[in-house]
Amino acid sequence: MANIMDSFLSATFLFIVIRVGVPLLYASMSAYVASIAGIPNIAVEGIMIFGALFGVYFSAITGSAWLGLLGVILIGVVMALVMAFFTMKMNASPIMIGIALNLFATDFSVWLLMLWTGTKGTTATLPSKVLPTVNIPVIKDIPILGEIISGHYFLTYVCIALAVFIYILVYKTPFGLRMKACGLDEHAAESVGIKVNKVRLIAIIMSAVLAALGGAYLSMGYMSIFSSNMTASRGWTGIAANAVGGGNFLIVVLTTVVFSFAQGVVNRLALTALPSELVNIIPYVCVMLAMIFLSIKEMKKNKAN
Amino acid sequence: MNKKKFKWTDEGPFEFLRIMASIGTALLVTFIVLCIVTKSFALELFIDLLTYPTQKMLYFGYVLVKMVPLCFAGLATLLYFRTGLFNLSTEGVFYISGVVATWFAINPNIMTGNEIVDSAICILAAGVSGALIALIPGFLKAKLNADEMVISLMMNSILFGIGYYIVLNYLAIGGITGTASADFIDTARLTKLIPKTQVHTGLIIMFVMVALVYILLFKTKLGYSIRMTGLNKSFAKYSGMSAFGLFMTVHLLAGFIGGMGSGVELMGLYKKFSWSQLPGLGFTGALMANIGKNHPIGVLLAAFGISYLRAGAQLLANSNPVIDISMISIVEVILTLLISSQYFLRKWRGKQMLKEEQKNG
Repeated sequence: MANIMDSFLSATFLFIVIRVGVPLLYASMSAYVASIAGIPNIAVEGIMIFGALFGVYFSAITGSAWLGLLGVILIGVVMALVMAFFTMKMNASPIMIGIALNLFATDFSVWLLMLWTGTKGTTATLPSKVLPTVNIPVIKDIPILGEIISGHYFLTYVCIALAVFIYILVYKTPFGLRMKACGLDEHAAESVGIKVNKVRLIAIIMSAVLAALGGAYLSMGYMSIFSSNMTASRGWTGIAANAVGGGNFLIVVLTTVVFSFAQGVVNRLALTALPSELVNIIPYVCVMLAMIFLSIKEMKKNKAN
Repeated sequence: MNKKKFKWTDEGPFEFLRIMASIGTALLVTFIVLCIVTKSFALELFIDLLTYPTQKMLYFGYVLVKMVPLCFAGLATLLYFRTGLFNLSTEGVFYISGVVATWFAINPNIMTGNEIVDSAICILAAGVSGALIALIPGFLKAKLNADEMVISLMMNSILFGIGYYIVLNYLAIGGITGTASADFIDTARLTKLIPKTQVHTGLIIMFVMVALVYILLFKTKLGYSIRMTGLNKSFAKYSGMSAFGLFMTVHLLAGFIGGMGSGVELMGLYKKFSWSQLPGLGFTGALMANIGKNHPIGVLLAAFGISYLRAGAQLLANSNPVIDISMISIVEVILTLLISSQYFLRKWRGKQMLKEEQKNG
């Protein structure tokens, strides 16, 4: 037991937390960007699946990981356009659209997998490419710190850059203000001349591309193949983190970090003799407890008012 | 006598037309996709897909058997949706209730040897456990107003983990840790309804449940409260029934139906518990409720339709490498997208109504 405790304090453990946390952060950011603009994106999980699958497929047929990544972004945009069309032009409930797209992605990816490889399990037979890992010069030579933050996948650093970008976009630019206005009250936003549909379209595209990148991270780095069900509820964890954050980006990120630690602990405990079925539920229990804690806090706040 | 003339633009017929147009579009897209995949004009294959299940009673039996869990999941989800709750916990409820039913079905000390009593014990145990489990998100929603969708999804993963642990460690055959439970005792299993097919008496239970949900929704005070609360959240407050009580009751009922569905499915179709992952019914139930317009009869029809196509795809999958049951997701997604689109065909309706106006001067 002491051995396990020690391993939680090591640099490798923090490295693992970052490794497992990145797809969660992509998912959280995806949910966040859409929800502050007033169109909740429930399809994060489904778009991640497609991102992961098409990244592998495009990189395999083009022979280039970078063209694969471009394909991932395109798939994200296509999914966003479908969502935007049905929610904004056809007045469908975004929740229902999200549920439908999730189920579609889960099943349809299995079918595509079968068409492309002849099996329903993985894309192991496709000659897909992975995105490179990056060693940061100078920092990689610093003891401990270098071990923790250098040597991650390319998309890890993209994720961190995008987090900074979203923070600046939402809190420091007029466009961010417009997004929040659309989320708070679309009619009020419209009355002051904001083109609500345009702002929301951009937000949904950003959201879907973020989710797709999260998927690509899983199949073009974290692992080098796509396997069915590989997203394993990460998209939903992101949506939960966003719900806990309640519109505050820093709290969303912080919640994601907590969930990442829980996931890191799971990965570590998987090496022990503890039953993996029970260990696997730790992150979900954390999310649920966080949601309950948040609800109690909200309720107290409402009562105080 | 002032008999009203039938018009396609009236509320009822227009709704029918919309659903038909959605089905038409979904099938057309499926046909196009088939043509693309086979790189030919795949009309024959498409017709096969649509007619295969009617060729033999055995095949049609698949349709009937496969629609049972879809219908139960749809009925459970429908109750949530009608109340305005986006709860998807039917997935996890199905799994854990199945585990409970299995515990009873493999236990010779509990099984009496009487076929009706034994299957009833297993199915009711599944229902009751489902109802109790559903009370957790129900309580969190009713008391704390916690986001029921996220909670229910997290619960699905948690219930699966716990259920799978129980199956592996307590229900598997003594000594050997396998992925499946011991065999169900024969008397626990539901009897065949139609010989030479897989159709079991669970089909009758399903029809009874559809009728009961119909009566509950449209003929009782509780059903009225459920429908009104779905339309307007503050209704429950003014109806005299507390919102807390209403939410708890709805979760209890939906959990019971979901759990029962699991029991019926297992006792009807399986020899032992062998689900090594979530059965995927939480989301499908949501689709059934949506395609069926949140109406019990609609859910029944939706479950039949989707099950029919899935059976066709599964039967063809044996002889054709490009066809698989997962392909039917195209139909499901298009139906859901179009049926939930309130503006679908609205322009056409507007034009027709305008023409009518002009004709009448």
